[in-house]
Amino acid sequence: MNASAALETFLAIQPRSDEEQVLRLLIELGAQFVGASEGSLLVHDRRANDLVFAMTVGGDERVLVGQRVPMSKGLTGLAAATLEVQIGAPTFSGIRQAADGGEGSGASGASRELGEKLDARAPESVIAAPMLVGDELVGVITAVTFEPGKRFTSDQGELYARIAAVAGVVVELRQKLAAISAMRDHAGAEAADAADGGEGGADEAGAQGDGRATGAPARDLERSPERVIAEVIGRLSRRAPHLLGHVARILVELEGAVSGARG
Amino acid sequence: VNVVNASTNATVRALVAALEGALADLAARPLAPIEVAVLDSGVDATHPDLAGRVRAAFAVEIVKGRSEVVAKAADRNHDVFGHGTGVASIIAKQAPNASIVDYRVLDADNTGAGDALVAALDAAVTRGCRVINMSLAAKREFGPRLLAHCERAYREGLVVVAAKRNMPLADLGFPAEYTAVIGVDRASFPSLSIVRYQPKSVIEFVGHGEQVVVAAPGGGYTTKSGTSFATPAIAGLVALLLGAYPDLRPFEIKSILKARAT
Repeated sequence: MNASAALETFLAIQPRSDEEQVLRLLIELGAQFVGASEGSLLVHDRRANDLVFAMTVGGDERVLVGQRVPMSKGLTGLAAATLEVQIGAPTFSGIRQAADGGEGSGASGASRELGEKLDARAPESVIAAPMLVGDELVGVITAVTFEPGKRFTSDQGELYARIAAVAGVVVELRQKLAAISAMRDHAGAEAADAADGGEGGADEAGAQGDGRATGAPARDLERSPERVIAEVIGRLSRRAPHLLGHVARILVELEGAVSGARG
Repeated sequence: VNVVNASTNATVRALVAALEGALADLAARPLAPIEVAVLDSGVDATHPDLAGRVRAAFAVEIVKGRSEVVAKAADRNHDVFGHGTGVASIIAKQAPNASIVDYRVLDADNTGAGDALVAALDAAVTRGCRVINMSLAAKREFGPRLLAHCERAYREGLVVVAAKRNMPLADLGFPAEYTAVIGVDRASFPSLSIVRYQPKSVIEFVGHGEQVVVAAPGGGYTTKSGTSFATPAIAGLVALLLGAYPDLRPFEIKSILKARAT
Protein backbone atom coordinates (compact mmCIF):
# COMPACT_ATOMS: atom_id res chain seq x y z
CA MET A 1 0.00 0.00 0.00
CA ASN A 2 1.43 3.40 -0.95
CA ALA A 3 0.75 6.74 0.72
CA SER A 4 -2.03 7.73 -1.65
CA ALA A 5 -3.81 4.40 -1.28
CA ALA A 6 -3.74 4.59 2.51
CA LEU A 7 -5.07 8.14 2.54
CA GLU A 8 -7.77 7.34 0.02
CA THR A 9 -8.87 4.13 1.73
CA PHE A 10 -9.15 5.48 5.25
CA LEU A 11 -9.56 9.24 4.94
CA ALA A 12 -11.18 9.74 1.52
CA ILE A 13 -8.22 11.90 0.53
CA GLN A 14 -7.72 11.54 -3.23
CA PRO A 15 -4.23 10.89 -4.66
CA ARG A 16 -2.39 14.08 -5.58
CA SER A 17 -5.29 16.15 -4.28
CA ASP A 18 -4.89 19.52 -2.64
CA GLU A 19 -5.82 17.99 0.72
CA GLU A 20 -3.01 15.44 0.39
CA GLN A 21 -0.64 18.31 -0.38
CA VAL A 22 -1.83 20.30 2.63
CA LEU A 23 -1.48 17.29 4.95
CA ARG A 24 2.05 16.64 3.70
CA LEU A 25 2.98 20.28 4.23
CA LEU A 26 1.56 20.14 7.76
CA ILE A 27 3.65 17.09 8.58
CA GLU A 28 6.77 18.68 7.07
CA LEU A 29 6.27 21.96 8.89
CA GLY A 30 5.47 20.21 12.16
CA ALA A 31 8.67 18.20 11.97
CA GLN A 32 10.66 21.35 11.12
CA PHE A 33 9.12 23.39 13.95
CA VAL A 34 10.07 20.85 16.61
CA GLY A 35 13.40 19.88 15.04
CA ALA A 36 12.36 16.30 14.36
CA SER A 37 14.26 13.92 12.10
CA GLU A 38 11.04 12.36 10.87
CA GLY A 39 7.37 13.20 10.80
CA SER A 40 4.61 10.73 9.97
CA LEU A 41 0.87 10.45 9.61
CA LEU A 42 -0.79 7.19 10.61
CA VAL A 43 -4.43 6.59 9.80
CA HIS A 44 -6.85 4.66 12.00
CA ASP A 45 -8.24 1.49 10.45
CA ARG A 46 -11.38 1.07 12.54
CA ARG A 47 -12.18 -2.35 11.13
CA ALA A 48 -8.80 -3.81 12.13
CA ASN A 49 -8.47 -1.41 15.10
CA ASP A 50 -4.91 -0.52 14.31
CA LEU A 51 -2.93 2.34 12.82
CA VAL A 52 -1.44 2.36 9.33
CA PHE A 53 1.51 4.52 8.26
CA ALA A 54 0.14 6.67 5.44
CA MET A 55 2.72 9.42 5.03
CA THR A 56 6.29 10.02 6.18
CA VAL A 57 8.70 12.91 5.72
CA GLY A 58 12.37 12.64 6.55
CA GLY A 59 12.25 8.85 6.66
CA ASP A 60 12.06 6.11 4.07
CA GLU A 61 8.47 6.26 2.90
CA ARG A 62 8.88 3.07 0.85
CA VAL A 63 9.65 1.13 4.02
CA LEU A 64 7.22 2.73 6.43
CA VAL A 65 4.06 3.42 4.45
CA GLY A 66 1.57 0.60 4.73
CA GLN A 67 3.16 -0.73 7.94
CA ARG A 68 0.60 -1.42 10.63
CA VAL A 69 1.02 -0.48 14.27
CA PRO A 70 -1.22 -2.27 16.79
CA MET A 71 -3.29 0.04 18.97
CA SER A 72 -1.76 -1.67 21.99
CA LYS A 73 1.76 -0.65 21.04
CA GLY A 74 3.82 2.31 22.02
CA LEU A 75 3.21 5.99 22.12
CA THR A 76 1.08 6.10 18.96
CA GLY A 77 -1.29 3.56 20.49
CA LEU A 78 -1.38 5.52 23.74
CA ALA A 79 -2.15 8.76 21.90
CA ALA A 80 -4.96 6.95 20.07
CA ALA A 81 -6.32 5.36 23.25
CA THR A 82 -6.27 8.56 25.30
CA LEU A 83 -7.05 10.98 22.44
CA GLU A 84 -4.24 13.05 23.94
CA VAL A 85 -0.85 14.21 22.74
CA GLN A 86 1.91 12.07 24.24
CA ILE A 87 5.63 12.71 24.55
CA GLY A 88 8.02 9.84 25.06
CA ALA A 89 11.67 9.16 25.75
CA PRO A 90 13.66 5.92 25.91
CA THR A 91 13.87 3.72 28.96
CA PHE A 92 17.09 3.64 30.95
CA SER A 93 18.20 1.26 33.64
CA GLY A 94 18.85 4.02 36.18
CA ILE A 95 17.20 7.20 37.38
CA ARG A 96 20.23 9.41 36.70
CA GLN A 97 20.59 8.22 33.14
CA ALA A 98 16.92 8.87 32.52
CA ALA A 99 17.18 12.35 34.05
CA ASP A 100 20.26 13.24 32.06
CA GLY A 101 19.16 11.59 28.84
CA GLY A 102 22.21 9.39 29.03
CA GLU A 103 24.50 12.41 28.88
CA GLY A 104 26.57 14.14 31.53
CA SER A 105 26.39 11.33 34.04
CA GLY A 106 29.04 9.00 32.81
CA ALA A 107 26.46 7.33 30.64
CA SER A 108 27.35 9.06 27.41
CA GLY A 109 28.94 7.63 24.31
CA ALA A 110 30.36 4.16 24.68
CA SER A 111 28.66 3.39 27.97
CA ARG A 112 25.32 3.97 26.33
CA GLU A 113 26.25 1.46 23.69
CA LEU A 114 27.11 -0.99 26.44
CA GLY A 115 23.52 -1.08 27.46
CA GLU A 116 22.75 1.92 29.64
CA LYS A 117 19.96 2.63 27.23
CA LEU A 118 17.93 -0.53 27.10
CA ASP A 119 16.97 -0.30 23.46
CA ALA A 120 19.76 1.28 21.43
CA ARG A 121 17.63 1.46 18.28
CA ALA A 122 14.81 3.36 19.91
CA PRO A 123 14.30 7.01 18.97
CA GLU A 124 15.56 9.54 21.47
CA SER A 125 12.20 11.25 21.72
CA VAL A 126 8.77 10.97 20.13
CA ILE A 127 5.64 13.11 19.98
CA ALA A 128 2.36 11.45 19.03
CA ALA A 129 -0.75 13.60 18.61
CA PRO A 130 -4.18 12.22 17.73
CA MET A 131 -5.96 13.57 14.68
CA LEU A 132 -9.65 13.96 15.39
CA VAL A 133 -12.78 14.67 13.39
CA GLY A 134 -15.13 15.98 16.03
CA ASP A 135 -14.03 13.76 18.86
CA GLU A 136 -13.54 10.63 16.76
CA LEU A 137 -10.03 9.36 16.09
CA VAL A 138 -9.03 9.33 12.41
CA GLY A 139 -5.28 9.09 12.81
CA VAL A 140 -2.14 10.04 14.68
CA ILE A 141 0.70 12.32 13.61
CA THR A 142 4.15 11.76 15.02
CA ALA A 143 7.50 13.51 15.30
CA VAL A 144 10.63 11.48 15.95
CA THR A 145 14.20 12.48 16.73
CA PHE A 146 17.28 10.27 16.88
CA GLU A 147 19.56 13.08 18.06
CA PRO A 148 21.35 11.85 21.22
CA GLY A 149 19.99 13.40 24.40
CA LYS A 150 17.32 15.48 22.63
CA ARG A 151 13.93 15.57 24.37
CA PHE A 152 10.73 17.07 23.06
CA THR A 153 9.10 19.51 25.47
CA SER A 154 5.46 19.90 26.45
CA ASP A 155 5.33 23.15 24.48
CA GLN A 156 6.47 21.29 21.37
CA GLY A 157 3.88 18.64 22.14
CA GLU A 158 1.17 21.30 22.31
CA LEU A 159 2.34 22.75 19.00
CA TYR A 160 2.07 19.30 17.47
CA ALA A 161 -1.39 18.90 18.99
CA ARG A 162 -2.44 22.08 17.20
CA ILE A 163 -1.02 20.85 13.93
CA ALA A 164 -2.97 17.62 14.44
CA ALA A 165 -6.10 19.70 15.08
CA VAL A 166 -5.63 21.55 11.77
CA ALA A 167 -4.99 18.26 9.97
CA GLY A 168 -8.21 16.92 11.48
CA VAL A 169 -10.14 19.88 10.09
CA VAL A 170 -8.66 19.24 6.62
CA VAL A 171 -9.85 15.61 6.80
CA GLU A 172 -13.26 16.65 8.11
CA LEU A 173 -13.72 19.09 5.23
CA ARG A 174 -12.81 16.40 2.73
CA GLN A 175 -15.23 13.93 4.28
CA LYS A 176 -18.06 16.45 4.37
CA LEU A 177 -17.47 17.36 0.74
CA ALA A 178 -17.52 13.66 -0.11
CA ALA A 179 -20.78 13.26 1.78
CA ILE A 180 -22.33 16.29 0.03
CA SER A 181 -21.23 14.95 -3.31
CA ALA A 182 -22.67 11.53 -2.47
CA MET A 183 -25.99 13.09 -1.49
CA ARG A 184 -26.08 15.02 -4.75
CA ASP A 185 -25.33 11.87 -6.73
CA HIS A 186 -28.04 10.04 -4.81
CA ALA A 187 -30.58 12.80 -5.34
CA GLY A 188 -29.66 13.00 -9.02
CA ALA A 189 -30.07 9.25 -9.44
CA GLU A 190 -33.44 9.30 -7.69
CA ALA A 191 -34.59 12.14 -9.92
CA ALA A 192 -33.44 10.20 -12.98
CA ASP A 193 -35.23 7.09 -11.73
CA ALA A 194 -38.38 9.09 -11.11
CA ALA A 195 -38.16 10.57 -14.60
CA ASP A 196 -37.67 7.05 -16.01
CA GLY A 197 -40.44 5.63 -13.82
CA GLY A 198 -37.93 3.05 -12.55
CA GLU A 199 -37.31 1.82 -9.01
CA GLY A 200 -34.20 1.67 -6.85
CA GLY A 201 -31.43 4.18 -6.71
CA ALA A 202 -27.76 4.73 -6.83
CA ASP A 203 -25.45 2.92 -4.50
CA GLU A 204 -25.03 4.59 -1.17
CA ALA A 205 -21.83 6.57 -1.16
CA GLY A 206 -19.90 8.44 1.48
CA ALA A 207 -18.97 6.97 4.83
CA GLN A 208 -19.68 3.25 4.93
CA GLY A 209 -19.76 2.95 8.68
CA ASP A 210 -16.98 0.40 8.75
CA GLY A 211 -14.13 2.78 9.19
CA ARG A 212 -13.39 3.15 5.52
CA ALA A 213 -14.35 6.15 3.46
CA THR A 214 -15.33 5.89 -0.18
CA GLY A 215 -13.45 8.92 -1.38
CA ALA A 216 -16.32 9.97 -3.63
CA PRO A 217 -15.12 12.97 -5.62
CA ALA A 218 -16.67 16.36 -5.07
CA ARG A 219 -16.92 16.88 -8.79
CA ASP A 220 -18.55 20.23 -9.04
CA LEU A 221 -16.87 21.91 -6.13
CA GLU A 222 -13.86 23.87 -7.24
CA ARG A 223 -10.91 23.10 -4.98
CA SER A 224 -7.52 24.66 -4.59
CA PRO A 225 -4.96 24.72 -1.78
CA GLU A 226 -5.86 28.34 -1.13
CA ARG A 227 -9.53 27.36 -0.87
CA VAL A 228 -8.71 24.53 1.52
CA ILE A 229 -6.65 26.89 3.68
CA ALA A 230 -9.41 29.51 3.64
CA GLU A 231 -11.94 26.89 4.70
CA VAL A 232 -9.64 25.67 7.47
CA ILE A 233 -9.37 29.25 8.78
CA GLY A 234 -13.13 29.70 8.54
CA ARG A 235 -13.92 26.52 10.41
CA LEU A 236 -11.32 27.18 13.08
CA SER A 237 -12.63 30.69 13.66
CA ARG A 238 -16.10 29.27 14.28
CA ARG A 239 -15.20 26.13 16.23
CA ALA A 240 -11.92 26.85 17.96
CA PRO A 241 -11.01 30.54 17.80
CA HIS A 242 -8.39 30.01 20.50
CA LEU A 243 -6.39 28.03 17.96
CA LEU A 244 -6.23 30.73 15.35
CA GLY A 245 -3.30 32.63 16.79
CA HIS A 246 -1.26 29.48 17.11
CA VAL A 247 -1.98 28.13 13.66
CA ALA A 248 -1.64 31.46 11.88
CA ARG A 249 2.07 30.90 11.55
CA ILE A 250 1.48 27.42 10.12
CA LEU A 251 -1.08 28.70 7.65
CA VAL A 252 1.16 31.55 6.51
CA GLU A 253 3.90 29.00 5.90
CA LEU A 254 1.44 26.84 4.01
CA GLU A 255 0.29 29.66 1.78
CA GLY A 256 3.91 30.55 1.08
CA ALA A 257 4.73 26.95 0.26
CA VAL A 258 1.70 26.57 -2.00
CA SER A 259 2.45 29.84 -3.79
CA GLY A 260 6.06 28.79 -4.17
CA ALA A 261 5.08 25.43 -5.60
CA ARG A 262 2.79 27.12 -8.12
CA GLY A 263 5.21 29.91 -9.00
CA VAL B 1 20.22 41.58 35.27
CA ASN B 2 22.61 38.96 36.59
CA VAL B 3 22.12 40.24 40.12
CA VAL B 4 18.35 40.02 39.72
CA ASN B 5 18.59 36.53 38.25
CA ALA B 6 20.91 35.40 40.98
CA SER B 7 18.57 36.84 43.56
CA THR B 8 15.58 35.20 41.91
CA ASN B 9 17.36 31.88 41.68
CA ALA B 10 18.35 32.10 45.34
CA THR B 11 14.75 32.90 46.24
CA VAL B 12 13.51 29.95 44.22
CA ARG B 13 16.07 27.65 45.80
CA ALA B 14 15.08 28.86 49.25
CA LEU B 15 11.43 28.40 48.44
CA VAL B 16 11.98 24.90 47.11
CA ALA B 17 14.08 24.00 50.16
CA ALA B 18 11.37 25.33 52.48
CA LEU B 19 8.64 23.44 50.65
CA GLU B 20 10.61 20.23 50.57
CA GLY B 21 11.55 20.71 54.21
CA ALA B 22 7.91 21.16 55.12
CA LEU B 23 7.01 18.05 53.16
CA ALA B 24 9.83 16.10 54.78
CA ASP B 25 8.50 17.21 58.17
CA LEU B 26 5.06 16.12 57.12
CA ALA B 27 6.32 12.78 55.81
CA ALA B 28 8.22 12.22 59.08
CA ARG B 29 5.00 12.40 61.08
CA PRO B 30 3.02 9.26 61.73
CA LEU B 31 0.96 9.06 58.58
CA ALA B 32 -2.27 7.20 58.13
CA PRO B 33 -2.27 4.88 55.13
CA ILE B 34 -4.19 6.40 52.24
CA GLU B 35 -5.52 4.50 49.25
CA VAL B 36 -4.89 6.31 45.99
CA ALA B 37 -6.80 5.03 42.97
CA VAL B 38 -4.93 5.32 39.70
CA LEU B 39 -7.33 5.20 36.76
CA ASP B 40 -4.98 4.69 33.85
CA SER B 41 -3.30 2.13 31.60
CA GLY B 42 -2.53 -0.24 34.46
CA VAL B 43 0.44 -0.36 36.85
CA ASP B 44 3.54 -2.55 36.90
CA ALA B 45 3.49 -3.73 40.51
CA THR B 46 6.75 -5.60 39.96
CA HIS B 47 8.76 -2.42 39.42
CA PRO B 48 11.20 -1.92 42.35
CA ASP B 49 9.76 1.55 43.04
CA LEU B 50 6.27 0.08 43.40
CA ALA B 51 7.06 -3.22 45.07
CA GLY B 52 4.61 -3.71 47.93
CA ARG B 53 2.86 -0.44 47.14
CA VAL B 54 0.01 -1.76 44.98
CA ARG B 55 -2.78 -2.90 47.28
CA ALA B 56 -5.29 -4.03 44.66
CA ALA B 57 -5.62 -4.15 40.90
CA PHE B 58 -8.66 -4.09 38.63
CA ALA B 59 -9.29 -3.85 34.91
CA VAL B 60 -12.40 -2.60 33.19
CA GLU B 61 -13.47 -5.24 30.70
CA ILE B 62 -16.45 -5.62 28.43
CA VAL B 63 -18.63 -8.39 29.83
CA LYS B 64 -21.86 -9.12 27.94
CA GLY B 65 -21.66 -5.73 26.31
CA ARG B 66 -21.21 -3.83 29.56
CA SER B 67 -18.12 -2.29 31.15
CA GLU B 68 -17.36 -4.25 34.28
CA VAL B 69 -14.60 -3.81 36.84
CA VAL B 70 -12.79 -7.13 37.18
CA ALA B 71 -10.31 -7.90 39.99
CA LYS B 72 -6.75 -8.86 39.00
CA ALA B 73 -3.71 -10.10 40.92
CA ALA B 74 -2.13 -7.11 42.66
CA ASP B 75 1.48 -8.27 42.28
CA ARG B 76 1.69 -8.35 38.48
CA ASN B 77 2.45 -6.00 35.64
CA HIS B 78 -0.90 -4.85 34.21
CA ASP B 79 0.41 -1.82 32.34
CA VAL B 80 -0.22 -1.99 28.60
CA PHE B 81 1.27 1.39 27.66
CA GLY B 82 3.65 2.46 30.43
CA HIS B 83 1.58 5.52 31.31
CA GLY B 84 -0.01 4.27 34.54
CA THR B 85 3.26 2.96 35.98
CA GLY B 86 4.83 6.39 35.53
CA VAL B 87 1.87 8.07 37.18
CA ALA B 88 1.81 5.62 40.11
CA SER B 89 5.56 6.00 40.66
CA ILE B 90 5.19 9.77 41.13
CA ILE B 91 2.46 9.24 43.76
CA ALA B 92 4.54 6.56 45.53
CA LYS B 93 7.53 8.90 45.61
CA GLN B 94 5.55 11.88 46.88
CA ALA B 95 3.57 10.06 49.54
CA PRO B 96 5.22 7.19 51.44
CA ASN B 97 1.84 6.44 53.02
CA ALA B 98 0.07 5.96 49.69
CA SER B 99 -1.21 2.52 48.70
CA ILE B 100 -1.95 2.32 45.01
CA VAL B 101 -5.22 0.85 43.80
CA ASP B 102 -4.75 0.14 40.12
CA TYR B 103 -7.81 0.55 37.85
CA ARG B 104 -6.87 -0.15 34.24
CA VAL B 105 -9.21 1.76 31.96
CA LEU B 106 -7.02 1.94 28.86
CA ASP B 107 -6.03 -0.84 26.54
CA ALA B 108 -6.03 -1.57 22.84
CA ASP B 109 -9.70 -2.46 22.78
CA ASN B 110 -11.22 0.54 24.48
CA THR B 111 -9.94 3.44 22.43
CA GLY B 112 -10.99 6.60 24.18
CA ALA B 113 -13.63 4.64 26.04
CA GLY B 114 -15.45 6.89 28.45
CA ASP B 115 -17.57 3.99 29.65
CA ALA B 116 -14.50 2.34 31.16
CA LEU B 117 -13.54 5.56 32.91
CA VAL B 118 -17.03 6.03 34.34
CA ALA B 119 -17.13 2.41 35.56
CA ALA B 120 -13.72 2.69 37.22
CA LEU B 121 -14.55 6.02 38.87
CA ASP B 122 -17.76 4.54 40.21
CA ALA B 123 -15.81 1.57 41.61
CA ALA B 124 -13.10 3.74 43.18
CA VAL B 125 -15.69 5.96 44.88
CA THR B 126 -17.64 2.95 46.09
CA ARG B 127 -14.42 1.44 47.50
CA GLY B 128 -13.77 4.71 49.31
CA CYS B 129 -10.32 5.51 47.89
CA ARG B 130 -9.45 8.81 49.60
CA VAL B 131 -7.60 10.10 46.53
CA ILE B 132 -8.51 9.31 42.93
CA ASN B 133 -5.95 10.21 40.27
CA MET B 134 -7.20 10.59 36.71
CA SER B 135 -4.37 11.52 34.36
CA LEU B 136 -6.72 11.48 31.41
CA ALA B 137 -9.77 13.23 30.07
CA ALA B 138 -12.99 11.83 28.69
CA LYS B 139 -15.07 13.05 25.78
CA ARG B 140 -17.73 15.64 26.56
CA GLU B 141 -20.56 13.12 26.15
CA PHE B 142 -19.36 11.31 29.30
CA GLY B 143 -19.27 14.53 31.31
CA PRO B 144 -22.62 14.23 33.09
CA ARG B 145 -21.96 10.67 34.28
CA LEU B 146 -18.48 11.58 35.47
CA LEU B 147 -19.87 14.67 37.20
CA ALA B 148 -22.34 12.56 39.18
CA HIS B 149 -19.54 10.35 40.51
CA CYS B 150 -17.25 13.35 41.21
CA GLU B 151 -20.03 15.00 43.23
CA ARG B 152 -20.57 11.75 45.13
CA ALA B 153 -16.84 11.56 45.85
CA TYR B 154 -16.85 15.16 47.10
CA ARG B 155 -19.76 14.52 49.44
CA GLU B 156 -18.01 11.44 50.82
CA GLY B 157 -14.75 13.26 51.48
CA LEU B 158 -12.81 11.71 48.60
CA VAL B 159 -10.49 13.90 46.55
CA VAL B 160 -10.53 13.51 42.76
CA VAL B 161 -7.46 14.95 41.04
CA ALA B 162 -7.72 15.14 37.24
CA ALA B 163 -5.55 16.30 34.36
CA LYS B 164 -6.37 19.16 32.02
CA ARG B 165 -6.64 18.03 28.43
CA ASN B 166 -3.46 18.65 26.41
CA MET B 167 -5.24 18.62 23.05
CA PRO B 168 -6.60 22.00 21.95
CA LEU B 169 -10.30 21.18 21.92
CA ALA B 170 -13.20 23.40 22.96
CA ASP B 171 -13.24 22.03 26.53
CA LEU B 172 -10.35 21.65 28.98
CA GLY B 173 -11.18 18.05 29.73
CA PHE B 174 -13.63 16.11 31.86
CA PRO B 175 -13.66 15.69 34.79
CA ALA B 176 -10.87 18.28 35.28
CA GLU B 177 -13.27 21.15 34.61
CA TYR B 178 -15.60 20.32 37.51
CA THR B 179 -15.42 22.27 40.75
CA ALA B 180 -15.73 19.08 42.80
CA VAL B 181 -12.38 18.08 41.30
CA ILE B 182 -8.84 19.39 41.62
CA GLY B 183 -8.03 20.14 37.97
CA VAL B 184 -4.33 20.22 37.13
CA ASP B 185 -2.36 22.00 34.40
CA ARG B 186 1.35 21.56 33.90
CA ALA B 187 4.44 23.77 34.00
CA SER B 188 8.16 23.34 34.45
CA PHE B 189 9.03 23.77 38.13
CA PRO B 190 12.26 22.89 39.92
CA SER B 191 10.46 20.39 42.14
CA LEU B 192 7.44 18.09 42.25
CA SER B 193 6.54 19.82 45.53
CA ILE B 194 5.70 23.16 43.92
CA VAL B 195 2.08 24.01 43.23
CA ARG B 196 0.78 27.11 41.50
CA TYR B 197 -2.75 28.42 41.95
CA GLN B 198 -4.57 29.97 38.97
CA PRO B 199 -7.49 31.95 40.41
CA LYS B 200 -8.96 32.97 37.06
CA SER B 201 -8.78 29.59 35.40
CA VAL B 202 -11.27 26.74 35.39
CA ILE B 203 -8.22 24.54 35.98
CA GLU B 204 -7.18 25.92 39.34
CA PHE B 205 -3.84 24.26 40.05
CA VAL B 206 -0.57 23.75 38.21
CA GLY B 207 2.02 21.10 39.01
CA HIS B 208 5.42 20.12 37.69
CA GLY B 209 4.95 18.16 34.47
CA GLU B 210 8.06 18.68 32.37
CA GLN B 211 10.70 15.97 31.88
CA VAL B 212 9.62 14.12 35.01
CA VAL B 213 11.67 10.99 35.70
CA VAL B 214 9.24 8.12 36.23
CA ALA B 215 9.27 4.35 36.54
CA ALA B 216 8.84 2.42 33.32
CA PRO B 217 7.28 -1.03 33.09
CA GLY B 218 9.90 -3.73 33.25
CA GLY B 219 12.10 -2.07 35.83
CA GLY B 220 13.69 0.91 34.09
CA TYR B 221 13.14 4.65 34.12
CA THR B 222 12.14 7.21 31.55
CA THR B 223 11.10 10.85 31.38
CA LYS B 224 7.55 12.01 30.73
CA SER B 225 5.99 15.41 30.10
CA GLY B 226 2.45 16.75 30.20
CA THR B 227 -0.51 17.30 32.49
CA SER B 228 -0.72 13.53 33.04
CA PHE B 229 2.44 13.72 35.13
CA ALA B 230 1.71 17.01 36.88
CA THR B 231 -1.52 15.49 38.20
CA PRO B 232 0.04 12.71 40.33
CA ALA B 233 2.50 15.22 41.81
CA ILE B 234 -0.50 16.99 43.33
CA ALA B 235 -2.37 13.75 44.09
CA GLY B 236 0.69 12.65 46.07
CA LEU B 237 0.68 15.89 48.06
CA VAL B 238 -3.01 15.37 48.81
CA ALA B 239 -2.31 11.82 50.02
CA LEU B 240 0.43 13.19 52.28
CA LEU B 241 -1.90 15.83 53.74
CA LEU B 242 -4.66 13.30 54.30
CA GLY B 243 -2.17 10.95 55.91
CA ALA B 244 -1.24 13.63 58.44
CA TYR B 245 -4.77 14.98 58.87
CA PRO B 246 -7.25 12.27 57.85
CA ASP B 247 -10.30 14.38 58.69
CA LEU B 248 -9.61 17.00 56.04
CA ARG B 249 -12.48 17.53 53.60
CA PRO B 250 -11.93 18.15 49.88
CA PHE B 251 -12.61 21.90 50.16
CA GLU B 252 -10.06 22.12 52.98
CA ILE B 253 -7.50 20.30 50.86
CA LYS B 254 -8.09 22.83 48.08
CA SER B 255 -7.72 25.70 50.55
CA ILE B 256 -4.42 24.30 51.88
CA LEU B 257 -3.06 23.79 48.36
CA LYS B 258 -4.07 27.33 47.48
CA ALA B 259 -2.48 28.73 50.65
CA ARG B 260 0.82 26.97 50.05
CA ALA B 261 0.85 27.65 46.30
CA THR B 262 3.50 29.90 44.81
